Amino acid sequence: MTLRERGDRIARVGAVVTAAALLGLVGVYVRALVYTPVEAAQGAAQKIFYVHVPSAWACLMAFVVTGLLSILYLWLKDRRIDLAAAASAEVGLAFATIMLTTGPIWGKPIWGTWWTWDARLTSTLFLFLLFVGYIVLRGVLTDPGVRGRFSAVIGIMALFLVPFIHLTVYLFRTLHPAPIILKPSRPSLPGDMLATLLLSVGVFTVLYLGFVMLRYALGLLREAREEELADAS
Amino acid sequence: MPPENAGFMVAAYVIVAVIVVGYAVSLMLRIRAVRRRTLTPSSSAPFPAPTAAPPAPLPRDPRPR
Repeated sequence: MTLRERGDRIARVGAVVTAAALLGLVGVYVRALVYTPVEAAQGAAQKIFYVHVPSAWACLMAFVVTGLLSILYLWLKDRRIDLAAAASAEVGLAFATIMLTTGPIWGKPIWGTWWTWDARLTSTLFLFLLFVGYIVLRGVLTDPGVRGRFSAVIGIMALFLVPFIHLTVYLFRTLHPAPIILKPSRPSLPGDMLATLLLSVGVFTVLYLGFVMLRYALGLLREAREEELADAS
Repeated sequence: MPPENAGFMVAAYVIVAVIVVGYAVSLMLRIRAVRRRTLTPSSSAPFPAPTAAPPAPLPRDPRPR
Protein backbone atom coordinates (compact mmCIF):
# COMPACT_ATOMS: atom_id res chain seq x y z
CA MET A 1 0.00 0.00 0.00
CA THR A 2 1.40 3.39 -0.97
CA LEU A 3 1.71 6.33 1.43
CA ARG A 4 -1.18 8.09 -0.30
CA GLU A 5 -3.49 5.09 -0.22
CA ARG A 6 -2.77 4.72 3.49
CA GLY A 7 -3.46 8.44 3.99
CA ASP A 8 -6.76 8.14 2.11
CA ARG A 9 -7.84 5.12 4.14
CA ILE A 10 -7.01 6.74 7.50
CA ALA A 11 -8.78 9.95 6.41
CA ARG A 12 -11.90 7.96 5.56
CA VAL A 13 -11.94 6.18 8.95
CA GLY A 14 -11.11 9.47 10.71
CA ALA A 15 -14.04 11.20 9.00
CA VAL A 16 -16.44 8.49 10.20
CA VAL A 17 -15.08 8.60 13.78
CA THR A 18 -15.23 12.43 13.83
CA ALA A 19 -18.81 12.42 12.49
CA ALA A 20 -19.82 9.93 15.20
CA ALA A 21 -18.14 12.07 17.86
CA LEU A 22 -19.90 15.22 16.60
CA LEU A 23 -23.23 13.40 16.91
CA GLY A 24 -22.17 12.37 20.42
CA LEU A 25 -21.38 16.01 21.20
CA VAL A 26 -24.96 16.93 20.25
CA GLY A 27 -26.07 14.27 22.74
CA VAL A 28 -23.81 15.77 25.42
CA TYR A 29 -25.28 19.24 24.78
CA VAL A 30 -28.85 17.92 25.12
CA ARG A 31 -28.06 15.92 28.26
CA ALA A 32 -26.06 18.70 29.92
CA LEU A 33 -28.39 21.59 29.08
CA VAL A 34 -31.80 19.86 29.39
CA TYR A 35 -31.56 16.80 31.64
CA THR A 36 -28.78 17.62 34.12
CA PRO A 37 -29.93 19.61 37.19
CA VAL A 38 -28.75 23.17 37.80
CA GLU A 39 -26.26 23.42 40.65
CA ALA A 40 -27.78 25.44 43.53
CA ALA A 41 -24.79 27.61 44.49
CA GLN A 42 -23.25 28.36 41.05
CA GLY A 43 -26.36 28.40 38.86
CA ALA A 44 -26.40 27.60 35.13
CA ALA A 45 -22.76 28.67 34.70
CA GLN A 46 -21.72 25.47 36.49
CA LYS A 47 -22.79 23.56 33.36
CA ILE A 48 -19.67 24.91 31.63
CA PHE A 49 -18.00 22.19 33.70
CA TYR A 50 -19.32 19.53 31.23
CA VAL A 51 -17.28 20.96 28.36
CA HIS A 52 -14.40 22.54 30.28
CA VAL A 53 -13.23 19.41 32.13
CA PRO A 54 -13.49 17.03 29.12
CA SER A 55 -11.59 19.51 26.91
CA ALA A 56 -8.88 19.73 29.59
CA TRP A 57 -8.78 15.92 29.69
CA ALA A 58 -8.49 15.66 25.88
CA CYS A 59 -5.86 18.42 25.78
CA LEU A 60 -3.62 16.88 28.44
CA MET A 61 -4.07 13.39 26.92
CA ALA A 62 -3.04 14.78 23.53
CA PHE A 63 0.09 16.39 24.97
CA VAL A 64 1.03 13.21 26.88
CA VAL A 65 0.64 11.20 23.66
CA THR A 66 2.79 13.78 21.84
CA GLY A 67 5.48 13.48 24.52
CA LEU A 68 5.50 9.67 24.46
CA LEU A 69 5.58 9.57 20.64
CA SER A 70 8.42 12.11 20.72
CA ILE A 71 10.48 9.78 22.92
CA LEU A 72 9.65 6.92 20.54
CA TYR A 73 10.66 9.04 17.53
CA LEU A 74 14.06 9.92 18.99
CA TRP A 75 14.61 6.21 19.59
CA LEU A 76 13.30 4.71 16.32
CA LYS A 77 13.69 7.70 13.93
CA ASP A 78 10.51 6.71 12.07
CA ARG A 79 8.92 9.70 10.30
CA ARG A 80 5.42 8.29 10.71
CA ILE A 81 5.86 8.55 14.50
CA ASP A 82 6.90 12.19 14.09
CA LEU A 83 3.77 12.81 11.99
CA ALA A 84 1.58 11.17 14.63
CA ALA A 85 3.18 13.27 17.39
CA ALA A 86 2.59 16.46 15.38
CA ALA A 87 -1.02 15.42 14.73
CA SER A 88 -1.66 14.88 18.43
CA ALA A 89 0.01 18.22 19.28
CA GLU A 90 -2.17 20.20 16.87
CA VAL A 91 -5.35 18.50 18.09
CA GLY A 92 -4.26 19.11 21.69
CA LEU A 93 -3.87 22.79 20.85
CA ALA A 94 -7.49 22.90 19.60
CA PHE A 95 -8.70 21.38 22.89
CA ALA A 96 -6.41 23.71 24.86
CA THR A 97 -8.11 26.65 23.11
CA ILE A 98 -11.48 25.33 24.31
CA MET A 99 -10.14 24.85 27.83
CA LEU A 100 -8.59 28.32 27.98
CA THR A 101 -11.73 30.06 26.69
CA THR A 102 -14.37 28.17 28.68
CA GLY A 103 -12.34 28.46 31.90
CA PRO A 104 -12.43 32.27 32.10
CA ILE A 105 -16.10 32.32 30.99
CA TRP A 106 -16.86 30.05 33.95
CA GLY A 107 -14.51 31.97 36.26
CA LYS A 108 -16.07 35.40 35.71
CA PRO A 109 -19.48 34.70 37.33
CA ILE A 110 -18.06 32.38 40.02
CA TRP A 111 -14.71 33.98 41.00
CA GLY A 112 -15.60 37.51 39.93
CA THR A 113 -12.64 37.68 37.52
CA TRP A 114 -11.86 36.38 34.04
CA TRP A 115 -8.28 35.45 34.86
CA THR A 116 -5.87 35.21 37.78
CA TRP A 117 -2.15 34.54 37.59
CA ASP A 118 -2.15 31.54 39.91
CA ALA A 119 -0.12 28.38 39.40
CA ARG A 120 -2.79 26.26 37.63
CA LEU A 121 -3.89 28.88 35.13
CA THR A 122 -0.42 30.23 34.44
CA SER A 123 1.18 26.80 33.92
CA THR A 124 -1.70 25.79 31.59
CA LEU A 125 -1.21 28.97 29.55
CA PHE A 126 2.53 28.22 29.45
CA LEU A 127 1.79 24.71 28.11
CA PHE A 128 -0.50 26.21 25.45
CA LEU A 129 2.21 28.67 24.35
CA LEU A 130 4.79 25.88 24.33
CA PHE A 131 2.69 23.99 21.78
CA VAL A 132 2.06 27.14 19.74
CA GLY A 133 5.87 27.31 19.54
CA TYR A 134 5.94 23.60 18.59
CA ILE A 135 3.59 24.18 15.65
CA VAL A 136 5.41 27.36 14.53
CA LEU A 137 8.78 25.57 14.71
CA ARG A 138 7.47 22.72 12.54
CA GLY A 139 6.27 25.24 9.99
CA VAL A 140 9.64 26.99 9.84
CA LEU A 141 11.99 23.98 9.60
CA THR A 142 12.11 22.38 6.17
CA ASP A 143 14.48 19.47 6.79
CA PRO A 144 12.28 16.58 8.06
CA GLY A 145 15.05 15.11 10.26
CA VAL A 146 15.83 18.41 12.01
CA ARG A 147 12.12 19.24 12.27
CA GLY A 148 11.35 15.87 13.88
CA ARG A 149 14.28 16.07 16.32
CA PHE A 150 13.68 19.66 17.46
CA SER A 151 9.93 19.25 17.87
CA ALA A 152 10.44 15.95 19.72
CA VAL A 153 12.56 17.79 22.30
CA ILE A 154 9.74 20.32 22.87
CA GLY A 155 7.20 17.50 23.05
CA ILE A 156 9.24 15.74 25.76
CA MET A 157 9.67 18.99 27.73
CA ALA A 158 5.90 19.47 27.67
CA LEU A 159 5.38 15.89 28.84
CA PHE A 160 7.06 16.76 32.15
CA LEU A 161 4.81 19.80 32.54
CA VAL A 162 1.54 17.79 32.43
CA PRO A 163 1.81 16.05 35.86
CA PHE A 164 3.03 19.32 37.35
CA ILE A 165 -0.13 21.06 36.08
CA HIS A 166 -2.28 18.32 37.63
CA LEU A 167 -0.53 18.76 41.00
CA THR A 168 -0.53 22.58 41.08
CA VAL A 169 -3.85 22.66 42.96
CA TYR A 170 -2.22 20.65 45.77
CA LEU A 171 1.18 22.36 45.73
CA PHE A 172 0.08 26.02 45.57
CA ARG A 173 -2.71 28.25 46.86
CA THR A 174 -5.06 28.65 43.91
CA LEU A 175 -8.62 29.70 43.05
CA HIS A 176 -8.94 26.67 40.77
CA PRO A 177 -10.87 23.77 42.38
CA ALA A 178 -9.11 20.46 43.13
CA PRO A 179 -9.86 17.39 40.94
CA ILE A 180 -13.19 15.71 41.69
CA ILE A 181 -12.57 12.47 39.77
CA LEU A 182 -8.82 11.97 39.29
CA LYS A 183 -8.09 11.80 43.01
CA PRO A 184 -7.42 8.97 45.51
CA SER A 185 -10.94 9.08 47.09
CA ARG A 186 -14.34 8.54 45.40
CA PRO A 187 -15.66 11.17 42.91
CA SER A 188 -17.39 13.97 44.82
CA LEU A 189 -20.26 14.60 42.41
CA PRO A 190 -23.98 13.62 42.38
CA GLY A 191 -24.89 10.69 40.09
CA ASP A 192 -26.66 12.74 37.37
CA MET A 193 -23.80 15.19 37.06
CA LEU A 194 -21.18 12.43 37.13
CA ALA A 195 -22.97 10.53 34.32
CA THR A 196 -23.09 13.67 32.14
CA LEU A 197 -19.43 14.38 32.83
CA LEU A 198 -18.35 10.82 32.00
CA LEU A 199 -20.43 10.86 28.80
CA SER A 200 -18.77 14.10 27.79
CA VAL A 201 -15.30 12.77 28.61
CA GLY A 202 -16.03 9.73 26.43
CA VAL A 203 -17.25 11.88 23.53
CA PHE A 204 -14.25 14.21 23.74
CA THR A 205 -11.94 11.18 23.75
CA VAL A 206 -13.56 9.84 20.55
CA LEU A 207 -13.40 13.35 19.07
CA TYR A 208 -9.68 13.43 19.87
CA LEU A 209 -9.19 10.08 18.10
CA GLY A 210 -11.13 11.23 15.02
CA PHE A 211 -9.24 14.52 14.80
CA VAL A 212 -5.86 12.80 15.24
CA MET A 213 -6.69 10.33 12.47
CA LEU A 214 -7.67 13.16 10.11
CA ARG A 215 -4.59 15.22 10.99
CA TYR A 216 -2.29 12.20 10.67
CA ALA A 217 -3.83 11.39 7.27
CA LEU A 218 -3.18 14.98 6.22
CA GLY A 219 0.49 14.56 7.19
CA LEU A 220 0.76 11.33 5.20
CA LEU A 221 -0.86 12.91 2.12
CA ARG A 222 1.55 15.86 2.32
CA GLU A 223 4.49 13.42 2.54
CA ALA A 224 3.13 11.52 -0.47
CA ARG A 225 2.83 14.79 -2.38
CA GLU A 226 6.45 15.72 -1.57
CA GLU A 227 7.60 12.28 -2.69
CA GLU A 228 5.71 12.65 -5.97
CA LEU A 229 7.28 16.05 -6.56
CA ALA A 230 10.75 14.66 -5.80
CA ASP A 231 10.17 11.77 -8.22
CA ALA A 232 8.86 14.10 -10.94
CA SER A 233 11.87 16.47 -10.76
CA MET B 1 -32.37 30.39 44.42
CA PRO B 2 -29.46 29.82 41.96
CA PRO B 3 -27.78 32.95 40.53
CA GLU B 4 -28.87 34.16 37.06
CA ASN B 5 -25.81 33.54 34.90
CA ALA B 6 -27.12 31.43 32.00
CA GLY B 7 -25.59 33.86 29.48
CA PHE B 8 -22.09 32.68 30.41
CA MET B 9 -23.16 29.06 29.91
CA VAL B 10 -24.65 29.79 26.47
CA ALA B 11 -21.51 31.70 25.42
CA ALA B 12 -19.25 28.82 26.48
CA TYR B 13 -21.31 26.17 24.66
CA VAL B 14 -21.46 28.27 21.49
CA ILE B 15 -17.68 28.80 21.56
CA VAL B 16 -17.03 25.07 22.03
CA ALA B 17 -19.29 24.24 19.05
CA VAL B 18 -17.59 26.87 16.87
CA ILE B 19 -14.07 25.64 17.71
CA VAL B 20 -14.91 21.92 17.30
CA VAL B 21 -16.86 22.27 14.04
CA GLY B 22 -14.38 24.87 12.72
CA TYR B 23 -11.43 22.59 13.37
CA ALA B 24 -13.19 19.58 11.77
CA VAL B 25 -13.99 21.65 8.66
CA SER B 26 -10.42 23.00 8.56
CA LEU B 27 -9.00 19.45 8.60
CA MET B 28 -11.31 18.30 5.80
CA LEU B 29 -10.57 21.36 3.66
CA ARG B 30 -6.82 20.91 4.14
CA ILE B 31 -7.06 17.22 3.16
CA ARG B 32 -9.07 18.20 0.09
CA ALA B 33 -6.55 20.90 -0.82
CA VAL B 34 -3.55 18.57 -0.59
CA ARG B 35 -5.45 16.00 -2.66
CA ARG B 36 -6.20 18.64 -5.29
CA ARG B 37 -2.47 19.36 -5.60
CA THR B 38 -1.61 15.65 -5.87
CA LEU B 39 -0.31 14.68 -9.29
CA THR B 40 -1.95 11.23 -9.69
CA PRO B 41 -5.60 10.84 -8.67
CA SER B 42 -6.80 8.03 -6.39
CA SER B 43 -10.25 6.44 -6.55
CA SER B 44 -10.40 5.93 -2.75
CA ALA B 45 -10.23 9.62 -1.80
CA PRO B 46 -12.52 10.42 1.17
CA PHE B 47 -12.96 14.11 0.26
CA PRO B 48 -12.49 14.07 -3.52
CA ALA B 49 -11.33 17.31 -5.03
CA PRO B 50 -13.67 18.77 -7.64
CA THR B 51 -12.58 17.84 -11.13
CA ALA B 52 -11.41 20.67 -13.35
CA ALA B 53 -14.11 22.18 -15.58
CA PRO B 54 -13.67 21.67 -19.35
CA PRO B 55 -12.10 24.66 -21.10
CA ALA B 56 -14.64 27.27 -22.28
CA PRO B 57 -15.08 27.55 -26.08
CA LEU B 58 -13.28 30.44 -27.71
CA PRO B 59 -15.50 33.48 -28.44
CA ARG B 60 -16.61 33.83 -32.00
CA ASP B 61 -14.63 36.36 -34.04
CA PRO B 62 -16.95 39.43 -34.44
CA ARG B 63 -15.12 40.75 -37.54
CA PRO B 64 -17.03 40.39 -40.87
CA ARG B 65 -15.65 37.69 -43.10
